[in-house]
Amino acid sequence: MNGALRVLLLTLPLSLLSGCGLATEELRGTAYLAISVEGDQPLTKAILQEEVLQAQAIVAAFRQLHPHVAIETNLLRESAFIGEVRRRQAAGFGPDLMLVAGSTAHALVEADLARGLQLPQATRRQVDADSLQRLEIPPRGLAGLPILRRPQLACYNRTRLAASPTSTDDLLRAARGGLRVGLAVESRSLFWSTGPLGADRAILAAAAGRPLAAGEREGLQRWLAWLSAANFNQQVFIEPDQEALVQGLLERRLDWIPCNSGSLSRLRRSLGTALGVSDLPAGPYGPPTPITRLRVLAFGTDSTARQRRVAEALAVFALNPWIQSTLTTDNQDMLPTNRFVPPSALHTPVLKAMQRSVRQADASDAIARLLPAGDPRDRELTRLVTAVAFGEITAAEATGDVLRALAPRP
Amino acid sequence: MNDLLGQMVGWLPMLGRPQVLLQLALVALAVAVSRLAGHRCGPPGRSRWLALAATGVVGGLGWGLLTIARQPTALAVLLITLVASLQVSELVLHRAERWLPEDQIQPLRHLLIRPFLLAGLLWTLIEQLDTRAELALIPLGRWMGANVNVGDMTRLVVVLYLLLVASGPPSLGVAWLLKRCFALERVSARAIGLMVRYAVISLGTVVLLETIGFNSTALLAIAGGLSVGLGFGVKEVFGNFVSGLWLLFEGSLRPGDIIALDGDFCEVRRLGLRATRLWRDRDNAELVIPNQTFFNSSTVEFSVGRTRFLTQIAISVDAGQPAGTILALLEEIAAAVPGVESHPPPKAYLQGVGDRGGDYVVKFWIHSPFANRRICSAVVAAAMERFRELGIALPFPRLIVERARTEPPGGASG
Repeated sequence: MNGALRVLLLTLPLSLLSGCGLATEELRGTAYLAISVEGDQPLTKAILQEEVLQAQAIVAAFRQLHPHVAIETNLLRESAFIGEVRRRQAAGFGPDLMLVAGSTAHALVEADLARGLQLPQATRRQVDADSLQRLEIPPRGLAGLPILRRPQLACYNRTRLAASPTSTDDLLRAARGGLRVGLAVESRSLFWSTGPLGADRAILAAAAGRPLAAGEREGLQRWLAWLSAANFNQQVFIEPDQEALVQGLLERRLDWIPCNSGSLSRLRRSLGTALGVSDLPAGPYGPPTPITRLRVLAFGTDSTARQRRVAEALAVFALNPWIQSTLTTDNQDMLPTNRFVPPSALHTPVLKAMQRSVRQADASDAIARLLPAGDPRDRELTRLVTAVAFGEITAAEATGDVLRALAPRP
Repeated sequence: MNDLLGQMVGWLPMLGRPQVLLQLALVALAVAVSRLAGHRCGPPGRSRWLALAATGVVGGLGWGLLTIARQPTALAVLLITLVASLQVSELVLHRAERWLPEDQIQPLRHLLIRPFLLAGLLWTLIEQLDTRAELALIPLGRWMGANVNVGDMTRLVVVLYLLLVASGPPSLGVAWLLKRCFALERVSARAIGLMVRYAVISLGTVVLLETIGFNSTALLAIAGGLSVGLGFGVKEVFGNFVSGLWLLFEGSLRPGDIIALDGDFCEVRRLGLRATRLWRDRDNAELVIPNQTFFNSSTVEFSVGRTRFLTQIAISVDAGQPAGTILALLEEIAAAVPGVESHPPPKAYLQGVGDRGGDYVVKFWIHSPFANRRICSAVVAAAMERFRELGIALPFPRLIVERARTEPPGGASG
């Protein structure tokens, strides 16, 4: 009964708003929006701006429509997000809305820290089908409303490199030729390279607890050996996290890095026209497997009726084709989730590269679901990758350890 | 600054949530019941225990009810813990009054316990309502070449507070070690402790400002400006401060010493950095004397343990009495008065012969200047009594009025 009431409470305004486009009653009040930040690096002003840029743009546009509404934003670490929300809800201070990764939205709903979402068919038809599929939690509906996608790309300094290498071999060859390549040992930053070297299926199988075929195990060892070989190259710099890579490119210490589209605004401000953006290199065993960060709005459970109305109106507004199109074309650092964004808004080389990256991201989407942020297995994988990259253990030794580390915990 | 205020105002609607109001109501109820329980019972110690028990009982019951109703409780637990901590601290301080002086209890309460509890509450509440790391990035402005944000300012305030409040005991420890290592007997440990403390505070402040990014040139300019300010505006304060440090370092004036100030003997009670607190025996008054006074005028001082005082009385005796007998008698009388030291023994002198007879002086030692008035009075009284018994007159000025005999004018002719 309670669940049905919740569904009714949520679906009614959504359907009304999505149907009419405008609320009949003037919205008032303050809603609290918690935004997750990936990585463990200390929070800086640049990271803060990068993470809240789109949210602020949405909120600013929303407030033009509803001037009596205030949205208070809050940044929380993705890896500690669940714990933080649980702690706040224990005091009655839980957020009304949460802009998080898809996997975190799943975890929030499963932990009863966010409400499941039943979208009306009309709204559902507007949203990109892949994104919806990633957020399905039967029988609760959706873990949240997908708002934007941030694909993984190759970012490089065009004054040092005319075009990004198209294969992993070319990348190492260019490094031998003097190109300063940056790689991060964070599994999420490095996972793109598993596809080209044939390790993606092994990692997926291990994380899902399935037995590995011999070829899959070889693929995993090949990927680890490639990492080890990369480190022997003086021009390949292994950094602890994605933020260190971005800083390296900003300070022109690095010439080529894998980057998330969320960092493009920051890189563009610093590098200007020298910033090159392309899809990531493929390899002899397949295309790259970049991770697309799906940003999802999940709904908190502590809200008052007024806060809930504001939160739902904001979520629906964020899905609006107009605002999605504006954000996409203005910032060129995200892809919309609304299918009705006009194709003309996506006709730039950067956005095309992002679309290619999203198409390549099927395998990595699965790994993002299997190893959500903050999962101890993810940390263990990062630790092992670091050990291989720095030559502490050989690829052959690490293969078994990686498989054991990825095995699902009871 | 506007950003910070905006952020803080943004927290307020959160307090309007029913589940938050419910917790606040529980805390208000616990506080009200504990105050009521505290006021209804007589002795302070017992009432404090009752107030604490009332907080615990109401808080516990409320927590249980909220948990059964599946309502959030963390805020109520936090606030009731704070109230209970304050009550426990009051109980501990009440006990501590037996062995700690009142002037140390108050700083402990107002400078250490309450600020720490309040800071702990704020720290936890902010983390519940917002993200500290994000709040820390809110800019406050550009000062002395540095972009200062909330995090920098918080660090500045907390570290300065800790330097000021918590540097005392470690500095005294260092002072004690230095005194032991270098056998600095004449210099008081408190003086070295203060020097160490102010050095730590000054260095800590400079390092902190440098860490935040304040321009060292601007800091020097401020130091220069302060020097000018010290020269004109606050030179008295600064002069007293330096005098206080010097007095402490020199060890010429210490608590327990007795000094003569404007003819009155006073005991040094506390040697502060700006002023010295004295106790005057005559009227039991406490005097606060700026430290510079002791530099600008000479002071008669009796150190702790060296307060023996040579005093004297003067007395006039009939000039017809033999001087040798009177001198011996006066010495004997003085020696018999309680409080007059026997070593060295009292000594009498004949100073001369005046209008009233022979002028004698008896000099004798007493144990403390504070006993001077009382013992001198006792010696004079004993001398008067003894001379009266022996029939020796003590001359004193007398006024004799004689009426002149006047004869009527007629009588003179007859």
